[in-house]
Amino acid sequence: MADADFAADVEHPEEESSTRITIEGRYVVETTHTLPELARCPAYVAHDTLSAHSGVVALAPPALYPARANAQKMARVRSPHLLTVHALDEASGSVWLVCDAPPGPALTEGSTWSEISVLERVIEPIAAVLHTYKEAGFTHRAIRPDNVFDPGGRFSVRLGPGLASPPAIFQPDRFESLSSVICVPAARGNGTTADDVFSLGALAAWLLGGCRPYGDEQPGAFTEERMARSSFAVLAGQLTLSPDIMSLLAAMLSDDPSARPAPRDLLNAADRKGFVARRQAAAAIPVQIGPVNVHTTRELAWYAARYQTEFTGLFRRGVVERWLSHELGLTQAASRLGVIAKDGAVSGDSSLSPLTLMEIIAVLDPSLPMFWDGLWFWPDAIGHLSAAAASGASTFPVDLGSALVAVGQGGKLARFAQLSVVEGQAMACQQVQMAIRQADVGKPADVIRLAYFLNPFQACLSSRCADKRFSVAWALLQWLNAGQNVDQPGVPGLLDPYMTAFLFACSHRNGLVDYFDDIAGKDASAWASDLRVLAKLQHLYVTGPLPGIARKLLPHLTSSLKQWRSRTTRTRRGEDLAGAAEAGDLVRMFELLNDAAAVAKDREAWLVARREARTLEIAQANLTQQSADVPPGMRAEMFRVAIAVGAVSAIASLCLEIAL
Amino acid sequence: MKWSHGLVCGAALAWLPGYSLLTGVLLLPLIMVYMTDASRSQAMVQMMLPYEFAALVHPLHLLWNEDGSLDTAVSLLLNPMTSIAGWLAAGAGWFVLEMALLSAKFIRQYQARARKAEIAARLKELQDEWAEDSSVPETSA
Repeated sequence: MADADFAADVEHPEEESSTRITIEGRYVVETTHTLPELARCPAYVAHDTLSAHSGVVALAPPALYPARANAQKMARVRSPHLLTVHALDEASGSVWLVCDAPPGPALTEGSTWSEISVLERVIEPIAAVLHTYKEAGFTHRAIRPDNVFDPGGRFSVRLGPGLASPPAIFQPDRFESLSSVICVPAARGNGTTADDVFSLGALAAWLLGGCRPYGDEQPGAFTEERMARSSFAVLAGQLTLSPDIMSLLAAMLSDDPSARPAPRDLLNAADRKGFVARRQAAAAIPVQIGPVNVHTTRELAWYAARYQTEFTGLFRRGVVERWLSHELGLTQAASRLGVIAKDGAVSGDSSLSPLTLMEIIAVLDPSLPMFWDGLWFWPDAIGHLSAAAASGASTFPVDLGSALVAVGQGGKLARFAQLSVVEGQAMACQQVQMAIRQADVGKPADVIRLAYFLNPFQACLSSRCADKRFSVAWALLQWLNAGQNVDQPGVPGLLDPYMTAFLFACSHRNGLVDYFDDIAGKDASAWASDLRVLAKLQHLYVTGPLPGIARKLLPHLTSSLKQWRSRTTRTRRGEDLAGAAEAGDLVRMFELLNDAAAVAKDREAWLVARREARTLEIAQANLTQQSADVPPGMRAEMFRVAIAVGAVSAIASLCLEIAL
Repeated sequence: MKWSHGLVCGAALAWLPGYSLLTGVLLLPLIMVYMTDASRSQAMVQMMLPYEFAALVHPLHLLWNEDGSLDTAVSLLLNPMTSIAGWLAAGAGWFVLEMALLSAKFIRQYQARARKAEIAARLKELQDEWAEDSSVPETSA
């Protein structure tokens, strides 16, 4: 069935070329011919133009579940028991993966599995894949029945791709280790090879248990039981299997990551005997926290997060320290808690601060994820968390934006990395801390930037274009320029915060800008801010004219012209602005509206004009008040004029008398 | 009036009775103005004097030709044209002054009106160019 679904040699000669995408000049994707999802990722029919016999499918990771951040490197990992990813390409503007078509149905189709077939056809080949991954420094994190394919006969199963979606985001609870399952799916992070081994063990237990459907299992339904009885007891304890297999599963399903076998140990699992499951130290006398009796530090850490008030009481009274020291012999952990308790007593707080609780939990069980203010998460999952929170795809027990901002401040991540024993946490925390600094994350609304910063394959999360899966800036700019479906009621401006953050992250990744403020700024309106961002991007990416965007922005920029008080300047600049918009020159438009020298000059001219107007008004008032009477000076002048006329008359009279 | 003025008038009447009579009668308006001028500046008298002089030239010439006799002076004075011309000369001086003042007033009014129109036009020009708009955004410049 799956063979038919993923058949690659189906020809569609009548299709328009616009419905086809060519990847790396070799693989042609039919974007109108969908296939059933592969590894929970939308799949499409694809052809290899160089090899008619190779069956390939194209995967299109959606915006909410993007390919993993290191997918490009992971795609280079080759293993005979892994569906090979042949290409990962963004040339079309969005991420496309081309990988081998599954050789048969997924294990969810169900069949009967014997112990030896599970060992030889499932555990050993997947262990080989995990070994290759481990050598390359990656984790798979998608080992579950719907991502493992059975070619039938005596052939080994093949593992589907683990790079097409965020790590462990689709993993059902029963295939995840305790340290991962207590987190919401988006918060699980890359994990470790030990987590993959657990998933493989859980898969083996599920196959040997009769492949019972697990789709209706509620998330978190078994977590408490697994905490109390161990994951092995819950997932495989009821199975009737040979002692060797039981000991193998017990080791693989151990809740202590360090007690699980390495993939190399499983390469010959069928021949190897004597796997020993190490049990976690459990206290003979439990400590009661809330309604629960707790025997192990892991349980205590988990219940401490659930019953914080009760735990605070125990911690303040020193019960926890004494219990650790006397019942479990963990004197070092007890003394560290003692130091934390002393610091807390100095501060005088009645309740434990989130930082203190985080430290206590990390000291109690350093293999657990970070706990902050009600949320369990692995630091390297912060990118996925912010994307999930921003998109509203998941619900969280806390205000995730505020929580992530708080986590990113004050060296809390570094403190967790210091306390955690899980490999890679120090580097992951450093990367997240650097991303927080570079993305200038200072308030909850800025957290979305981390999704783009921590994953270069994160498509733009704006609801307007999420279905387009734009993963590169030029594709979004092109779409905006085309002006399709650009308007969104309630969004003041052309770009929404998701788009702005996406464009910024792309520019940063391409080395064009260093800080968010390099492209964004505070403007009078959202449209003016959008012009600032888009003009910078047009300049940085040398995109050429963008008349569609310019025309869209133009009607909303007239208010920005009012910064000039002179009507003549406003008119002239408005005409220039319209001309630049017609030419699609956003840079020129931005310069026209952000000419500080011209604004200063205009202001000076305005002050001069205001002074002149005041002077004229005074002169006008004086003229109105002025009396119509001739002033004395002028009157005297008129007297002199009359005298002069008289003198002239006298002389004329004298002359006439003499002459006549 | 100074005592010397009376002495001069007395001497003039004694030695030149014809000239004195003719001049005194023709300068009667001037003397009346001199007497009634409240400002005491005598500006009006000074102004009228050249006009009176212009009117006196011809009668005095006729009197000179007749050796300045009193009879001739009386006969000249009995000629109404001589007296009227002499007296109207003073009125002409006043009339010229009033016309000059009236013209000055008109010119001033015209100039004020022109200036007012000029200011109003300039103010309108400024208003049109720099009209304040409540929606003008604040700029940092």
